[in-house]
Amino acid sequence: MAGELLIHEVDIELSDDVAVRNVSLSLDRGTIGCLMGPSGCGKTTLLRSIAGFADLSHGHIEIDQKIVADVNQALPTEKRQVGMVFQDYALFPHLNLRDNLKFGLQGVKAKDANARIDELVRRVDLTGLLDRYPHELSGGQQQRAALARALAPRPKVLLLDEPFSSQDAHHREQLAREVGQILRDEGVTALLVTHDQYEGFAMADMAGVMNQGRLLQWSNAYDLYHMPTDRFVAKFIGEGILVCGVVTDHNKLQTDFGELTGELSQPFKPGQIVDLLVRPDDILHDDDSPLKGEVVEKTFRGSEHLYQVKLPTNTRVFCVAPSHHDHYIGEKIGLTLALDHLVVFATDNA
Amino acid sequence: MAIKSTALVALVSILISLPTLVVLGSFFVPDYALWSHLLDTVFTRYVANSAVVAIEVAIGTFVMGVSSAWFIVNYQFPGRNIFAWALMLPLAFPGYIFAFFVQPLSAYLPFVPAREWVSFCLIMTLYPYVYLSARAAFIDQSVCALEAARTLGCNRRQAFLQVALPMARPSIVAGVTVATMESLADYGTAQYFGLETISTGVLRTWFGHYNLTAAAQLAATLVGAVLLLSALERSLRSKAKFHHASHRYQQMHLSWLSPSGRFGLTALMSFPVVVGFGLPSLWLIHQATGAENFGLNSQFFELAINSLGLAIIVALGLVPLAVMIAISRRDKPSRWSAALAALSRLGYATPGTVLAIGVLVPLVYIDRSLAEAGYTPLGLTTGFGGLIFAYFSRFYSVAANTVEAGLERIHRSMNETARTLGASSWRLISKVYFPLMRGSALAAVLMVFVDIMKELPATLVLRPFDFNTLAVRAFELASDERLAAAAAPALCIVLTGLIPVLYLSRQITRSRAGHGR
Repeated sequence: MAGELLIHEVDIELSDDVAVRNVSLSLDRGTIGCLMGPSGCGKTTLLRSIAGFADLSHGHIEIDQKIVADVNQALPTEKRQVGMVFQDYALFPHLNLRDNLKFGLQGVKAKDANARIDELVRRVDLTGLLDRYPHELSGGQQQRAALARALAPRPKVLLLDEPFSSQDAHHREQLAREVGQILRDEGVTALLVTHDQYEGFAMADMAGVMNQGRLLQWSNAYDLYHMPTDRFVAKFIGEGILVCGVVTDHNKLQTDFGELTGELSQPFKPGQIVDLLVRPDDILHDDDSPLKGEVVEKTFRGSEHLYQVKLPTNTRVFCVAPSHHDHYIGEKIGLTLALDHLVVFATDNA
Repeated sequence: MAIKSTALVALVSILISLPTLVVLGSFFVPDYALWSHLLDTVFTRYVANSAVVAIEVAIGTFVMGVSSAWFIVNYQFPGRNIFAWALMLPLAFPGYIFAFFVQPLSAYLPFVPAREWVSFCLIMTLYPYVYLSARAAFIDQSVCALEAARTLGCNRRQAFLQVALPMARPSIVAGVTVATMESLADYGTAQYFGLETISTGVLRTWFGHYNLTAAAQLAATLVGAVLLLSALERSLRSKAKFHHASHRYQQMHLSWLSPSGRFGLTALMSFPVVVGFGLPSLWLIHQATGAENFGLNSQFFELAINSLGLAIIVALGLVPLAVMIAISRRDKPSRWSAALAALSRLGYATPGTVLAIGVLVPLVYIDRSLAEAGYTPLGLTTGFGGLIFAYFSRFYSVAANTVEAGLERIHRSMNETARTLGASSWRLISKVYFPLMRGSALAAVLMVFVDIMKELPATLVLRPFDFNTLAVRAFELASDERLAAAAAPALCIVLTGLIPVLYLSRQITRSRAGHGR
């Protein structure tokens, strides 16, 4: 399928610094992408460049196979057919909900505009609130209003800049799922920016992690979690630790857990020292296992316990166990490793 | 303690609003013969002139203030950072001193009526009020709202008209209202051009006929107009409760124009600065060179000492009073204290000419009653008492507004924390309020000081016999076409007028550093 949004080798320079370096990615029509990364990593700047609020110093951006920006020219924002949901919603305080929704429907026949507004209001569950002003809506309603307003003109690409950041932490994931569903119902191509991976995983088909202006990996969410190609991505996404090991064969690794066999994510020569990514769900709690570790810290999470366990070699690892496996701190518990792929990186100090 | 402070607040508020209330009260004892005379002769002319000037000033300051603010906030052009504060410079010129500069020019355009010259002078010196409030509003707006408009299909111009302007409306209306109220209150500019407005009419009635009742009733119409205007502003504002959802300020995306557009904008922004400040300043300096020693003679120094002394004494008296009242109002908020606060604000909305009459009426009444009862009159109208009373009444709200803005930054929780830590009222004031409010109290002293230095009509009426200030003398000399002699005192007033301008510009530079703008 044709790429609806294509970003090709884009550099963006802000007044003092290079904010985005050599970023390429594409999104197919109707898919949802997500850019994650720590604050200042350039993700928002990249998003703004798609909207036309930041100029490129290298590369180009295509929307619907038409170049909207390159080094020499930039189509004005209003001609790009992009929608944007802002972090603070940016609802117009002087307009009621109806007029906010209608704002992007200039030039549309009144009858069609009203039909579109009714459709959206039903879809985002704001029925009956059309005469209210933004300050008369709750936070969640404002957020859905901003989403509906951006969707109203049927943009080719919808951009969402940290849209859930002002919501309660425990609501965000659910909201993200709901918004993801609304976007799929609308069939819109969307790119979300967030620093919260759970939001991203809850709604995105494709996801990427940015750091210091670079897009380190762009893949589906499963691969991002289980097959990170960069140690920053491995640390940023999910929990886990890096355990030191020595490569003994093309598919063998000697570690604190003993010798592990499996395909290495990157080729290394025997004798090389590497770091192995171990996720909490890679380590299973098994009372019969000969490998024992001492519980040094535990976090109760309702349905499960997250244990931090110290191995005899002093390496600390995380282990998730069902909640009824309640062990005390200092207790020695049995562990087994369930790694089907060995995600390894060259050591930091190499 | 609580009762005492409420009583104090009540007493001060009533005293401060007394002159305005007296003038308004005169409306309720109408003199029909007088009114039919007024209506037959001058009244319609006064009202028409005042109304036309007010409307022209409202439109003129709106156009100049809003457009310059928008360009400064949104466009990059040579000199932009300088213009950001230089556009406020004309505020240093009181309208009547700017008139000294404009009046000789009017001879070259004899077909332009005096009324238009008055409007021109007032627009050029009052537009900074609108510029300031519009600029603050534009900066305060969520950049996101403008960007959202762009993603919804608006170009820059449409985004301005449909989003930025309506969102800034409350602030712009407030700025235009201040400018319009100042134009209604203006005495000096209209008098200098010989234009008969309500404001000049009040003093003419008093000086010409010594008819205090007629002056008071005329003044009451002016207060009525001013109150109507401020009520209108309040209703416009309360309907538009614009909450800024955003507290996220992004670097404004400044637009670069084509080279001709850029320099065009520089030229456009230069106009108000050059015409409103540069040229009249140079002209005044040139005039001063026409006088011996630039007019810096013993008479000038006497005037300067009079003006400075009066302004400092009143400012130092008024500001502590405002601080005390602000604190007690805050510690004991009630419907009463809110009403009293609104009452004490009346003074600033009251034109100086009106205030003068409002002070004269009770003082004359007291002296006359004393005389009739066989006592020696106190001579209240011939000393400084009346003048200082008028200043307190007129400038109390200047001090109160500045002080209260400072007080707002002291969160209630600080107050409560200090109390739970066992601080007494005195300790609270000396250790918490005073250190935190020092800046705003000093600002209040400055603002009142400058306003008194510039004040003309009330001083003209209420000053003791043979006592002159810089403002009064400059105006008298200029009216006698002794411009060379008027220049030094006029320059002196402009120089003091620069104090609040520099103060505000420093704040602007600071806020720019904070927001990267």
